[in-house]
Amino acid sequence: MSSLPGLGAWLQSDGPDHAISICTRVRLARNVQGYRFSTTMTPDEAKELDAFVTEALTRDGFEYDLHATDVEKLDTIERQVLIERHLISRELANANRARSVVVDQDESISIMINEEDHLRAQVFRPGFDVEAAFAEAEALDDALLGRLPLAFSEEFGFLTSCPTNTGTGLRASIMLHLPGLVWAEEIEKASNTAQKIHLAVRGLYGEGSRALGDFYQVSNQVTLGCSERQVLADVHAAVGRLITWEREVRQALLTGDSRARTLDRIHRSLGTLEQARILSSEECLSCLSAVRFGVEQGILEHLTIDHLNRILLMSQPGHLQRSAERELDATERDVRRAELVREILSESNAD
Amino acid sequence: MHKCSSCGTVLGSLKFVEVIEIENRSATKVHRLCEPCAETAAAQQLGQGSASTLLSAAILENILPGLSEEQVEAADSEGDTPAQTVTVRVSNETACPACKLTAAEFRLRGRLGCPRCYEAFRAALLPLLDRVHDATCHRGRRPAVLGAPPPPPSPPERDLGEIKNRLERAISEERYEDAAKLRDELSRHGQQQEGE
Repeated sequence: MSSLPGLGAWLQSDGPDHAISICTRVRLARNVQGYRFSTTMTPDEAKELDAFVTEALTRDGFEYDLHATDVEKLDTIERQVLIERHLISRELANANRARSVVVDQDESISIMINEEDHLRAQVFRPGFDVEAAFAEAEALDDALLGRLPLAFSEEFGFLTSCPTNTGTGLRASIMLHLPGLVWAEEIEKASNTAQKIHLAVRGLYGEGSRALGDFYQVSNQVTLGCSERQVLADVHAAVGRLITWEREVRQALLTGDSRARTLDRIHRSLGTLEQARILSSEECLSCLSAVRFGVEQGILEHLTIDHLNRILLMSQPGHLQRSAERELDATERDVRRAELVREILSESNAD
Repeated sequence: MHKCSSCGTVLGSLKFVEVIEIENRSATKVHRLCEPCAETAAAQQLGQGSASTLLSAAILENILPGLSEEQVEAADSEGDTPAQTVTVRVSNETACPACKLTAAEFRLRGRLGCPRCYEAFRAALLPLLDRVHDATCHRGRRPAVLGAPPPPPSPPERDLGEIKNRLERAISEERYEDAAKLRDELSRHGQQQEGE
């Protein structure tokens, strides 16, 4: 089998609290003076801005070594792969105007051009590390300010196409694995508590209120009226409390009457992944979550988080089809997924 | 003693909507409507969709479906408005001079047209920002250096050229009021360029 591509910075299985928190992302929304916002531009303006910004960010002498990709030129599978790696959003993939994404070597920095704003710059750090992620984002912001005339007003801060983002234009998101809270049916309570302090909790995979794989993303919602430091301190405190809560619930699930049920679920899930010949993405994510819980709690010792991260990414539709080098229909994908999972798990047995 | 501008009811301790209409930089007009009249006006306005009438749909979205506790508290915090009012500011600038987005379009799309829309729709934006963020002013980082290289020439020049064309057309069609407005825009645009 050909060597698998890297997972990208967001799935590095280290970083603080990495058992529960997958990664931290800080995103800044920025726009350039003198142009209409991306969603109102004419096609020509969009091309001009796209070229202007791409050139500014990839020209010699920029503090970062970035590579630009014209999203318009990518096919569906290639766009899907970028979405799965969290380098572009579905909105950028499907938009109907000139647009690009500019990325660094290890995919820890990605800047979307002409999504909802002219620039959506994001920085990833593994695990739960708001401080470090923001420090990187601030440095990147300074570099952008040095190269581009960004739209800023004393009163409203960094100006964005939607007033819900104006001010700091900052969104910090921490991706968490919360099987404890889900299995103990406390996730809604946790979500409501977070919402009271203006944090959004939503599933990472799945639509609407479904959170496949028990992966959640906790983000701030307010961008105006607080300093960046204050918002991040609030996010840090809230996520810290969530992580503690998750740990307590996990302990409870492994004690007394619950223990047998929890262990059974973990081992059955592993059995499914090891033996299934057809695996839907739903079933795969669900089993992966239980197995991940098992690995995180030291119950399954022959697997590592790294194996599971590889399965998590490679089993998604874009990556699956890229490795198969052709488009696959739903049934073919489910068969291929099962095959891939068995391959990666048997590698771990051989390790 | 305040009375409802529509039905004449004495407002007393009833909840009412106070609409401050900013006509130009120096003149404002204050209108007061009791809650039922405000809701009736809202229903009528949404049907007509005309931006030149007193209470535009853009404003009324803020006060429907009735006066909420939150809004009353927000008004209270301003200090100079009585506890039972919601103050809403209306501006007669109905379009952004740079990108031509109208207030109605903004409300429909939920998004602004260009950075200069923030200036153009400031009056309507303030209550919206307050509702979304519980704040109306940036308290975050301020860039030390802003816009080191000059912005690319094409869009501002397009603006200027376009305004000049429209001015010429207005003059030739003897629409002198429009021409006067365009001349104002042109001179404002010129000031903006100098400021950057």
